[in-house]
Amino acid sequence: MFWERKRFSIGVLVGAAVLMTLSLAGIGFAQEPIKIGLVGPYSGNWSYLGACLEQGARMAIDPFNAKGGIIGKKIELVIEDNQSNPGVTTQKVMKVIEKDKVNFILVGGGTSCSISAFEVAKREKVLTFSCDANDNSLNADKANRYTFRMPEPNYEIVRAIAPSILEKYGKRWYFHTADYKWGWDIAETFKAFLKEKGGTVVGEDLIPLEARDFSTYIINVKNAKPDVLIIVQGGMAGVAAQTQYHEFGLAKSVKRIQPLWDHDQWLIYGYEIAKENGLGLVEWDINIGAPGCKEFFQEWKRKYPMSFVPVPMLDTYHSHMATREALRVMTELGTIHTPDVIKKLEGRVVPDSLTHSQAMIRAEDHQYLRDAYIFAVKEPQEIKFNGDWVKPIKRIPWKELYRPPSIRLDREPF
Amino acid sequence: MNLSNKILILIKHPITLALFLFAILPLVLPFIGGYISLATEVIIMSIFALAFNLLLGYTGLTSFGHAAYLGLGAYGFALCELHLTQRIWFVPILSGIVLTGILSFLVGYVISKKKGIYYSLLTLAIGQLFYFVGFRWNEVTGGETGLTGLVRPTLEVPGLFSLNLSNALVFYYFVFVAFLLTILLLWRIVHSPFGAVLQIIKQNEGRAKYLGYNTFWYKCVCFTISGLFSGFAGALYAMFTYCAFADYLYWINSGDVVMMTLIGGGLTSFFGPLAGAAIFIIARNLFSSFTQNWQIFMGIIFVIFILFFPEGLFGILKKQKPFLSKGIGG
Amino acid sequence: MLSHFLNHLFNGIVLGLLFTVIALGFSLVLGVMEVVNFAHGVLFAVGAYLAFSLVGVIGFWWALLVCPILVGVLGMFLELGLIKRIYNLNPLFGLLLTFSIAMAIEGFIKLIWGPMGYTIPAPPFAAGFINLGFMVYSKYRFIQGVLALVLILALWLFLEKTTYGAVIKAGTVSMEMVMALGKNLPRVRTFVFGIGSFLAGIAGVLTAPMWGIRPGIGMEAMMPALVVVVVGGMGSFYGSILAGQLVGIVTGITVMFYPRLSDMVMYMLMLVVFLGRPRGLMGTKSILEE
Repeated sequence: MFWERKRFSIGVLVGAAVLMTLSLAGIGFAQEPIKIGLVGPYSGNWSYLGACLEQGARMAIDPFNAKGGIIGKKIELVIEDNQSNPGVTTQKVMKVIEKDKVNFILVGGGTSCSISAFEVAKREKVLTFSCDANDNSLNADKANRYTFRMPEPNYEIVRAIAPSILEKYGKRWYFHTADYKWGWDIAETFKAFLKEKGGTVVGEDLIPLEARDFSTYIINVKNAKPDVLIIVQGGMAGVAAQTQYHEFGLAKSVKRIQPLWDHDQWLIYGYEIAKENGLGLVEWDINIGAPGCKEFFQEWKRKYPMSFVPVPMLDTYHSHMATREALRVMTELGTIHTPDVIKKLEGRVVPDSLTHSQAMIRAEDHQYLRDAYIFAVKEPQEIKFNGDWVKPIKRIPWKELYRPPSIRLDREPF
Repeated sequence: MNLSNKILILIKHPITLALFLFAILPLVLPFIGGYISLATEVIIMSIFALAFNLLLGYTGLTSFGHAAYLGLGAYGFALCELHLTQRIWFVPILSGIVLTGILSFLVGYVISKKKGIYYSLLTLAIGQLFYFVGFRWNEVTGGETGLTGLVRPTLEVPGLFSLNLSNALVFYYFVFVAFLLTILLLWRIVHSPFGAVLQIIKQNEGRAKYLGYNTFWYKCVCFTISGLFSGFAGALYAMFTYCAFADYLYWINSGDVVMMTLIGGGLTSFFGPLAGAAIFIIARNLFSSFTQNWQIFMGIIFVIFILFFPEGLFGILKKQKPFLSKGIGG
Repeated sequence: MLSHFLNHLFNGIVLGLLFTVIALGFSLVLGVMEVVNFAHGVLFAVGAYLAFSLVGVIGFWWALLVCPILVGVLGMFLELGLIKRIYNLNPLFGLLLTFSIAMAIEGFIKLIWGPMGYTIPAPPFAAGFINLGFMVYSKYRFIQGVLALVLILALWLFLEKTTYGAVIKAGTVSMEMVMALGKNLPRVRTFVFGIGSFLAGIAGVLTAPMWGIRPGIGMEAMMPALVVVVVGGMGSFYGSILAGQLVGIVTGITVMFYPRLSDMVMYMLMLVVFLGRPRGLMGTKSILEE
């Protein structure tokens, strides 16, 4: 047998010893770049978001690299597809931490993915930004000192838009709720607000995740005859829902509103269908007329002329802000050491936040605070290019919107 | 037999080589673009693949819903930690094994009268049912969000030692011990009279019945044993990732383990599944880092294997090196 | 309440017809060639994606004809190049081969069309809804049901009334006899696989406006196909129709009462039928049993 021969055994033993020594000693590379991990959805329910997150991150990174990087090191983006799936998110976040040794992480793909990523962040002590999750828990019980959350929490979303819905359309609401944590959370917040204001919850359908056939639920709505249908859906499920609402002629009897409205979704189902919706919270759009928006849009168009979405999306905005501020802090401090970076981010004011008021990263709960904008669909004559379909009709300054934080992350030890 | 002869026999044994290779795996992988946790994934999936091959390679039964038993092990572990105890290190793992053992026995009881393609399709349907229960039963399994917030209990023997398992390399060797146990136990099982009967069933179930064996019970017990070890792998997987998701039970993961076992050469070798698991997982990880189109490469590679090397990697190797055929059939 | 129920029932019937159409191609290949074709789903997806690309160019009706033909041709190439090599082996190999092919083709889909999702609007004449007084229903869904019925009828006519159909029907019983009667076996097999793929493609085009288009729809479509074929009986034409309706209606009604169970219920049905009548409701002894 070949492995009985002395030479073979000695060879294997020597080889193993060499490898073990090398791995223990560690092979150092000169001037390792600073790596940023992007774990986002490039397939699955939110398949178009990964690219949007990437755009925002790269737009933030390039100016720094043009100036020679940070403390002499170039910045690199490491990208992993989490397939819109929380299980895969955990694996990929662990992979970029262990294999690529990233300095901080941007995560997308919705609430469940962010929850998973936040747990790994705490365990591995890696700075992590959620760029697209709205669940209330992410700046409360599921947050920790290493995590920051960019988008608006469900509570504030409801506070921003619900009064306008009530005022404009009526008090009898029906809900189509995606049957999982994100859906329940936001629906409960809406219902609580509605009850507070004396309105009625006419009915609710809990729609299983990944359902593609909404006909049953549409029938239910028609029978219930509410003033407004609140659609708590996102991603491709949202697209399928909107398409079918249109198919069944729902607009004739019920006004529908999808509180969290994404550009990319309208683009997939088209203006005709988008027009049937009432107000929406787009969270951010280049049309809001805040200082810096036009320039950002020009810069974005220059870099991404072939982008699938003709305008920078809200997720692009979030990943851009997160990346930019983190890199700025590192430049200002002259260090990439995570606890120092986090301390500097806590309470940081962001003057050029592309919104009317200056934004701020709240120290207590690591929530990014900025103005909320409510949008309505434009009339055909107001549209300047494909995708330019919404206009802002109301702004709510963040100081009036956000409730006090419910935790003190800034007091947690590292 | 004197001591030096015994040692020689031990070293010559193929299990020793397998154990040696797995022992150095986490140290070697970083040099080819891998990392320690990748090795952990490989070794856990190897346990799963060995458990699976008890059915496929030894008894000739293809289970298409086997990922369900991995997932059940993960859920068992998670539910124990979240509702019972997180402290005693073996209790959550045991819970995963027990839960899966009970359910796989029930499933085995129901399906073992069947064989061939019907058996396989039944396992697929049942596997999918388990998946949907996991995905929709939000109150118990966390639904889409899954069960998170798990911990790796400290490995302690009171009075002797206490080992913290949060370090990736330490955890790997913890799983290695589990792997060692699995490989030894399964080896004993397949080389026992029980294992011999399984192989007769694989050859020709009718003949086995004619010889007087109650094939129903043999198949049922075999399925249960496979389930127990799959649950073990699942519990370890939950411990590894610190969470349990319905996704673990999805049918495409079942397809993956069939693939792994086949291309490794599980049909004709005890060790085939190990090679298959290693190749599959490492290849997928490396490919997906380099290209977004890794699916195309994986698919094509599998097609090539199935068409030209259906005996799998170990099947090819066996033709070259007869010593590797210490597996099936003798 | 009644109109509510009728709506769900109607939905279930249309859903059932669509499931039948998806399953027929799969059943045909299974019955005649004894291959569990796991690439059937991905061929369905290719049909949907081709429709997405071509509907804008050639219109819905032409797409309904052209896309399935393209998929059929793809299927024939697959058969000639790859699938014919595993005929006399253990059915497991056919299954795994087609599963691998599906994986590769899904990768190609992502490569060509991107990983994102798309929608196709319903064709203009079918947009909107019908008001029947006691029930309001989507026009396109209604037309889908009608088209599915027409397709099933057309297939039935082909199998019952043409010589080629007779050869194929004979093939589901015994391929050797067919060969003994002088028919060119390899050519028959290629053609049958082509028809199976054509049916997968046309199912894809038909359902695309309703279910949306994502790379994952291929694998998703496999499951109903499998369930229908098992419940109805492998290789049984009427079985596929009956089972399709059964699965469709049961799913539709379950959505009305307990939406969370709606995707599981088809597997429960499969289990129940399998344990009671393993050959399916209308199946006969299959070559695969040996």
